[in-house]
Amino acid sequence: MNCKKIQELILTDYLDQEMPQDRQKELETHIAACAACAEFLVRAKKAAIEPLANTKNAKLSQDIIWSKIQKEIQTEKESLLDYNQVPSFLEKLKSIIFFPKPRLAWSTLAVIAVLIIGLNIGQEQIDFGKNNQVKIAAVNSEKVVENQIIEIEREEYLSYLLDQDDAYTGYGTSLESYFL
Amino acid sequence: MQNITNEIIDQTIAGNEQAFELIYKAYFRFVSNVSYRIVNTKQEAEEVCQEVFITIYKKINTFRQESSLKTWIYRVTVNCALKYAQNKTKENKNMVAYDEENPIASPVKDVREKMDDQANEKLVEKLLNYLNLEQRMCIVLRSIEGLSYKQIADVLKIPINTVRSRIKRARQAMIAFRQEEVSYEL
Repeated sequence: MNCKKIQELILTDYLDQEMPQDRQKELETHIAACAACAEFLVRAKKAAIEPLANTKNAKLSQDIIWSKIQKEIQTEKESLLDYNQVPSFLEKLKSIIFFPKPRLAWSTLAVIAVLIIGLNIGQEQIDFGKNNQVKIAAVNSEKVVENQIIEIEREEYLSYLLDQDDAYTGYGTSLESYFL
Repeated sequence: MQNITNEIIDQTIAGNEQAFELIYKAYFRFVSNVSYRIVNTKQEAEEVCQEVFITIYKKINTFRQESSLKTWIYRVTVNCALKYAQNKTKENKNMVAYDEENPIASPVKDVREKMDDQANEKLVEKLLNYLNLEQRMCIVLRSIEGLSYKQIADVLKIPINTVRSRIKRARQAMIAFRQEEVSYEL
């Protein structure tokens, strides 16, 4: 192995003790014989290993952070509880049409059914009337369009004729005025 | 660190806060340290910590017990910290310096030792700020938290040789950064 490879190994597997023993011995034999690699090892240890090895634990307050986490969990639980407590649509409907006595409930239901059927029939009639009105309006509008087209065509025809008439100047003879 | 059993995990999934507190206590040191080393300030690290544990609480039901809880929690931590730091970098291209008040634990010691600790913390801060986020995460996990290359690869979901290469580049950068200083010391 050359020095470049040795120094790469020093920076990684050797300093981090990730090497198999036989490879480590091989590398140490090289370092013992090579002044450049020996110096590199010392520099690497001083610059990149020792400062980080002597760090202390971060002094964050375990209790304060725990109380904040607890608060957040509690808020989460409460919001979940609120969500569960929101009555569903069916429950709301049930509370609106709740009757203490079944007979009253049935009679109310019957009245509602009659009302709904009645309203439906009424609605159908209204719809029928509305449909007729719509149909009449459509027919009317079609007629208007037709009339407009007829009017335009007429105008075109007339202008064509009038233009022809204007274009024709004649010679002003008595024979012409007799025949025309 | 208390051993987190499957029973504790199941109780947490069921919403038992006491069981979750055991997980919190067992992993607080790792989560707080990694968060702090990645995002730089005490306040931000606290926010990341909080987010990590809330994520764990909410998503522990998705954790498949075939993999280790430790790896899963480490992964959640790494993802939250990186996401926070990336958003922060977008907001401000320059890394924010560590807090004025040094948030590193320093029990009563003699003044000299305390000063050495603070000087070392400043140095670590500079070194880590000199690295990109990917290199920084690998160095924090390896050199500060002592994870093996295999563990780092599992947590970050990257090939082991990518871990090697990031660590190598990070250390080359650190050596270059401290070249003059180390030459003077030698």
